[in-house]
Amino acid sequence: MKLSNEQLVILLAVVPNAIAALVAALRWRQLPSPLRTLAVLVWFALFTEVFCRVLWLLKWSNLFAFPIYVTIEFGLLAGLYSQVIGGRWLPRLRWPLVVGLGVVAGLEGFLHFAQGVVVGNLARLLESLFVILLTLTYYYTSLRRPSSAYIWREPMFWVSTGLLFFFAGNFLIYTFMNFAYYYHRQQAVQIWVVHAALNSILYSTYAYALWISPKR
Amino acid sequence: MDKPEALEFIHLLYIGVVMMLVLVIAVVVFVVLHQKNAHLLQAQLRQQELDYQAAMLHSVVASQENERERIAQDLHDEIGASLSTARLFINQVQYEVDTPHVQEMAQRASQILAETLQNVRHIVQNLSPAILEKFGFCRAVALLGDHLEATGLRVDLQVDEVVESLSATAQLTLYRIVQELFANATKHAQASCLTLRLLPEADKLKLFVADDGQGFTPELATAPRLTGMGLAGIRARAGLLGGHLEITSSLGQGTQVILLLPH
Repeated sequence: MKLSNEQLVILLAVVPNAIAALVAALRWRQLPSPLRTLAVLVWFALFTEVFCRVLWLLKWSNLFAFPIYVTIEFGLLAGLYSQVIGGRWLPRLRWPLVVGLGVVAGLEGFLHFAQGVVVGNLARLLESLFVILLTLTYYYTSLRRPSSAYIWREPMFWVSTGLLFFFAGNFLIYTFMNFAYYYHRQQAVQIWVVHAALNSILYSTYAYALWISPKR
Repeated sequence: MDKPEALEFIHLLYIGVVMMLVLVIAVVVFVVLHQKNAHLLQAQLRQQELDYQAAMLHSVVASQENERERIAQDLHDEIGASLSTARLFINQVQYEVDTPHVQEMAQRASQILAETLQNVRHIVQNLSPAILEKFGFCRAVALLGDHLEATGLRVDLQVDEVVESLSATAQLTLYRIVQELFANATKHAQASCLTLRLLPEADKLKLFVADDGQGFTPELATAPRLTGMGLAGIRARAGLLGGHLEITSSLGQGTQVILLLPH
């Protein structure tokens, strides 16, 4: 099977994810509770990525995994931030948000299933919005209660920065996704190249955060 | 609706993504810079608060010392002098009357007054820092040890003279800590043996006080109602000296106190 350059780039985006998963496994014993949640997320993402790529290579649709992945990813991120940010509002809102997003993603997946390749973007846009808000809340909390003069030494700074990069870019990508599929089917793969690049940045920051994580 | 050119669309998308990323970078840079400033500001506020607390503590301890000095002076000048005069009169009565019963009563009264005078002198010695000025730290602690031995406690003291190179205020503070530790050992611990070592260790001065008394649990040590001002006073004074205090104790295992002081 001959792969185009774009397809090769998209496939290679799994490498930073695999590195982050390896770092998580190596550092698991030293990881504090919030970063253990991140480690679980990294392993889950690697499993989903490999599973979906296999389906992709077999030319089977992997879109059914999308709502499941979005819901679990957001659930783990909300769990991670509810441990880090503190306060009572996030633990209270966490489950309604996760369940709500799961319902939206499920319904969207179900409604678009018959249309084949069309990607439901509402769940992803909502997830992007929520995660951007979580990262901005983390930054706000760090400004209000600075625990060190050098925020870049904090693992959660790298996690939040990676997430902000990824989901800010993602927000734009998923906004234009169906537009691109509709008008320029051949060029749409370019969007996935950008997505793969953002994914690589995200998992590189995850790997670094897990690596520099202080001992429990 | 006309189809936009493919390249035009991809360029627009790239520009959009790049602008998004630039915006994110701006947010991150803002957070990094402001977080550093916020941390510095917080550290300054914390330092100001600590300085204020230290100043308050200094002031409280200084006023306590002044009060002690005043009480010691009053006891010595007023009560002590009056008791001595009364004892002289009673001794005189003892020699001038012939009635054996009255003589015996006068003798007993004279003994009681002598004991009271002795107690007043001890109280004055404990209250006043004059003992430090008069005898120096080592001798003053030795005298404290002697008083304890007189109550039946076995006391093992070893004090290096290097302690007398500390400032007068530091010596007085350290002396008060030793006084409080000795008082705890006798009043609360019901110890039979007490060890004190005050020796230089590297660039520090190490005070080690141990007793074989009944000890206490960490819960008791932190309960204000039970500990009163004793341990709190020791901690406050240790803080004033810039020392590191470590108290180890458990029920039936005695108590060990280690205080490391900058020297």
